[in-house]
Amino acid sequence: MKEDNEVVTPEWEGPGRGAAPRRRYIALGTLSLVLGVIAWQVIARFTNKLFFVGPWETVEALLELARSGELQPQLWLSGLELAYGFGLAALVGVPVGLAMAVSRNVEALLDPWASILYATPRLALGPLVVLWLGIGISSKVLLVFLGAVFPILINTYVGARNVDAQMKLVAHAFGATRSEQFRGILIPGALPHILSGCRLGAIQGILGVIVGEFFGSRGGVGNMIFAAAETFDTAKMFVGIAIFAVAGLLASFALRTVEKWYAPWKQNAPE
Amino acid sequence: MVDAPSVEVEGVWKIYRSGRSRAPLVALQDVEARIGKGRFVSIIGPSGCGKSTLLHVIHGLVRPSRGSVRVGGKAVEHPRNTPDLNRAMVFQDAMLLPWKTVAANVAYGLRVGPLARKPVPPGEIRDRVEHYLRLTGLTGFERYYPHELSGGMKQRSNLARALVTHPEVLLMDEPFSALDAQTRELMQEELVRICSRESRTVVFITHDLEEALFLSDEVLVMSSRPGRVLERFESPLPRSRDLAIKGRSEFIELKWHLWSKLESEVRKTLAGGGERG
Repeated sequence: MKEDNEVVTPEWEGPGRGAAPRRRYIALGTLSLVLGVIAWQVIARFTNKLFFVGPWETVEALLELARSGELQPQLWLSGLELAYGFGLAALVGVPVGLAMAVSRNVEALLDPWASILYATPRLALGPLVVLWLGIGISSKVLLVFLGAVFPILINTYVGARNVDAQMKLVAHAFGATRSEQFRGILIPGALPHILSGCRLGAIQGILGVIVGEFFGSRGGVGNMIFAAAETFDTAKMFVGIAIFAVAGLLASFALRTVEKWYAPWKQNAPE
Repeated sequence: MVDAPSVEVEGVWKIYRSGRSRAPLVALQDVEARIGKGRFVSIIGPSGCGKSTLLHVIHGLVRPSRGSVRVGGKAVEHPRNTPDLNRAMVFQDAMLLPWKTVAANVAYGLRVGPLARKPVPPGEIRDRVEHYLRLTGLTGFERYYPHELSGGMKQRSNLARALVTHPEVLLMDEPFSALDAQTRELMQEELVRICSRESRTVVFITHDLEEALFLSDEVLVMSSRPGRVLERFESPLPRSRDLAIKGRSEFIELKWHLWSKLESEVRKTLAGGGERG
């Protein structure tokens, strides 16, 4: 007679948590976003257009900027700064991080510098870098590089160091050579960490673009925000901010997707 | 005529000197063992007695401080420096590479190291992998990744990865100790079945008396640290066995006999605080 009560939710699952279906999760997230945009529009209605614009005006401004052809070169320039700086950072950060993980000597030589520079807010170097390299693209590339290289380097190093000792034992037991261990165990084992490093590096790199363009630049989306602020073109500022937000989201999403695809064993939740 | 022994361990010592203040740690003390070709030999002993160290010494991963080891009549070198690698290891935790499929994991020993440098006819690796996947009951799981497998399936892959290299000597380091009791029993039976077909020499480390007795032709009992071989025990049980044998009075008597050899050593380890797991 009490059979109906026999089905119990295990305590550790808690009420609802983990049991919530994926569809409801997505629905709630979407609802939250929609409510946020509505709130944004409502706030914009009751505030001075000079200081705050709503989502509708922002989209209008974006379309106008695109139609007039004003936006594209800025977008291209900022994108180029990011691509060069980030590419260089990956090109330097990954091999140096691997070298530190493989060689005790390299580690001893570089670890203090990596730690100090990683802890330094690199954005504080912005004015100095612009002073040295001028307002051309190179100062921005350097700032992006400085922002991105340390997260990539440190994550690569830590990832490669922590590659399971057991995996290395397997390689030894089957007589793998040093280069086979490097290619077959160290790099694939560290790759998930390398990818997280790149994700963090990309976000830092975007900050580098913004700061560099604020301090001195002939163009770019950051420069556009800065110039718009001086002329109280608030809608244009909002466009610039939105572009950076979307860029950050896209970079993060893309690299996370790669991470998930490459290292499904890191998440135990089967899709 | 008796075949030459497959594994010969002669007067092997392993002494670890760690730190200045600490006394050197004697892991293995004058270990002697001769393991005949095609024999299944278990090594039992209290935890921390150096069983795993001995296995690593036989494989050439750890260099003995004194003494010599020969496998198949040849002095043992590091697997990397052994062109005709004639031994393979089955690990305690399956230790499959998580980024490789089951089939790629099983093929690993043929793709790296000395065996990768031997010319093989095309398709040979694929055929061998397929054969051992079938033998270990993994057909259909070729494209799975380790995180999608149960503990028992992982250990089957672990075993297949070793067998695929056609080792003369199979070195197994407590491969079933992390499995639940039921899976362990089934895997033991499976191993008996596989070994009866393959007739390879097996050195099997375990701390489970029943497991040792069920699987082996011969059991070596090791002392607590420093590890020595206390006793060599020939099993009178028939070669072909199934799990039912574990319930026979003969089997239980033998188990108690072995335990009587081991008991005092285990107590010593307990008294010593059981420093290492």
